[in-house]
Amino acid sequence: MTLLFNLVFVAYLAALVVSVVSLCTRRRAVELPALGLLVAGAVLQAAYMAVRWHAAGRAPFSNMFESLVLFSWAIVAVYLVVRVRIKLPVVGAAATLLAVLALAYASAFGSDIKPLMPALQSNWLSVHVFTCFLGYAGFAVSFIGAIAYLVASREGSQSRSETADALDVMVEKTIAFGFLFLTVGIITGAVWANSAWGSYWTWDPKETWSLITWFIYAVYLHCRFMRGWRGRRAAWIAVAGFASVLFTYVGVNFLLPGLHSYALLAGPSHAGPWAA
Amino acid sequence: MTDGRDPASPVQTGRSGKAPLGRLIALLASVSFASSVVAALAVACVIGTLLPQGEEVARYLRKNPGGMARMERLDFLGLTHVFSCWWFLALLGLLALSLTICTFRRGRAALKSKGRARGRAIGSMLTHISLLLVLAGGVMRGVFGERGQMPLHEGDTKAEFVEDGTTVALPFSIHLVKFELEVHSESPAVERKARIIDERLLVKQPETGRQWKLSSKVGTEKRLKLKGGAAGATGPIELRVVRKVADFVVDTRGVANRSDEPRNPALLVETVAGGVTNQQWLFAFHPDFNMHGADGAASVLDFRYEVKVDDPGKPQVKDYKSTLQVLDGTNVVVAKTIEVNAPLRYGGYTFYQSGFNPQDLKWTSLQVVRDPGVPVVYAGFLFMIIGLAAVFYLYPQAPPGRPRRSNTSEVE
Repeated sequence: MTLLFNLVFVAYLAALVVSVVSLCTRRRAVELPALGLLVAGAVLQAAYMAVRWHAAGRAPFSNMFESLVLFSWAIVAVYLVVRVRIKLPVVGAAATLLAVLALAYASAFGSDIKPLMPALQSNWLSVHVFTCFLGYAGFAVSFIGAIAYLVASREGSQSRSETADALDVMVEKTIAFGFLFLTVGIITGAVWANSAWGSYWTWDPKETWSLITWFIYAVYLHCRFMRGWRGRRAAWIAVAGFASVLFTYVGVNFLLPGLHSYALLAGPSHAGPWAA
Repeated sequence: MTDGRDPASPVQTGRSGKAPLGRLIALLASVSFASSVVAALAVACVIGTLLPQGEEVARYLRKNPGGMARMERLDFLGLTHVFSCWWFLALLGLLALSLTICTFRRGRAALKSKGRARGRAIGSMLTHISLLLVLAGGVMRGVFGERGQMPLHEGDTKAEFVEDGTTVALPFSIHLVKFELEVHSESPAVERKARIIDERLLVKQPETGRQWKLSSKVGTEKRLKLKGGAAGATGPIELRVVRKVADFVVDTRGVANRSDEPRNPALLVETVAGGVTNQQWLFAFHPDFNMHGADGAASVLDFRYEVKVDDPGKPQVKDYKSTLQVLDGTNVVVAKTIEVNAPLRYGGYTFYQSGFNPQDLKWTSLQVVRDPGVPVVYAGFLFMIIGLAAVFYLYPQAPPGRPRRSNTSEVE
């Protein structure tokens, strides 16, 4: 399994190097091998997750290591879908970089397969985490698009106009995708919490920050669809939204422990008044 | 309506020539108003996650006895119970008002539009209704809901539970037939001993909030320069880590190490301040037992010994189950073995497997919940997913022409 993980890492790293070379040399022909490496990495990573799923007897979405692996895969998957419609090599390079960083960060956590605490033994966990991370991946790609837009739309930038417009639309589409899946993720988390602990919402820091993230993107979508916001202002909201995503995902685990602290450590067992 | 706006969205007319009520409704339905309320809610949520809330306040005060005045000020402003304070509920009320007006407007737009625009307007209306349903379900939970604990010993029968210290009667009885605890038998690294994988000594001056993170290695010395606090401590304080034991126990010889495994890690810390020497034991797993001296550095500093243990041999709880019977008089109406994620529902109440007593495995703890708002909230969830799918994918916005530039997009 470790070999497979390392192969994924190497494939993404190679895709990143080739993408950067393609960007620097402006040789579009080099982009295709980068795309091939990225696809190969994604397929290998799907295989890695499947093998881990089989070995653990459960979906591999239950701790920081596994969620980071899922996150990196989802970023690549969302980018590849976006790539079908919008061909912007710089977005591909940045998405690959994010995927590599997520995998590298995953390596900092133990990859041992450990038994789950009772509350985590639920199919709702798989659906909740999977949908949340699809949403996070959508937001990650939108963040890349927003940053690229902010650069491309600078005064005097030669790539203004068509590229910037394409990025602007891409940001909207990926945020809509992310918003839908984040919503489903929050809902499935609420249903799971209600079946496990009898409360669909407890204002746990993770829940609350996911709601803050949801608020930010809801404002983005309303400003865009209702007031016609385009361009830099919309891009800045997308950047703020992804900062909130990162804090929800990583910052809360370290700074604001709560029910979701099991994402980092073997946290509370919800053993009630006699919790060991 | 100009390019860049949703063709299914209601036209936001100008403000001139409207009656005051009309202007108020237009304001409440505006994106600016809704965005402002949402932004205020988001800020409140951030505050609610950063400041100690509810029961956390007592824990905070135990660690920071000097923080009482600060907590009282925060409490007065509702900042120690953000999510239940009046201004947060008022913000939710304003959001509900805005959503209600928007829902009617979307409904009107749906009636007037056709094709994709109608589908989109209906989807948008559903998402707004869904939020109203979730809020309504929350209100129902707050007004009509009940929640409490019911500890039961094997063989016990009870028709009541405890909610916030008050006994609440049930219209039926619950009998605990059996409690079972399952542990994971497969433990691949069971031969390995437990070990400390990370540890540190935290020293805090509660009055100023200043904190030092120090090594817990025996022999560590640090000169702490305090800033003036209410107690008038200005330092410096000499600190030294004197002794460390992995498994603290007191026997006839005094403090001893019961084993090499970190079952009860403890650290002996010595401080010298103003000529007063103080030694105290700090317990990683039982910080409440840290012995605080009444004089010298110990009176103005808070010490914590933090460790992270890797214990592969410790049996991990796989599941805990309670076999319950619902009794109507002496008749068994329902029998079910409940576990985490699989509660028992009967008579509008739900009984969750909440806890157990590791010292006596004949006891179980049930969480008893009655929440008539749940079906309403779940209906809201369903509407939300359908509505968003309609807006984004079933009836997406028609591709606009060339997007407008942001400097003209503010026009309403």
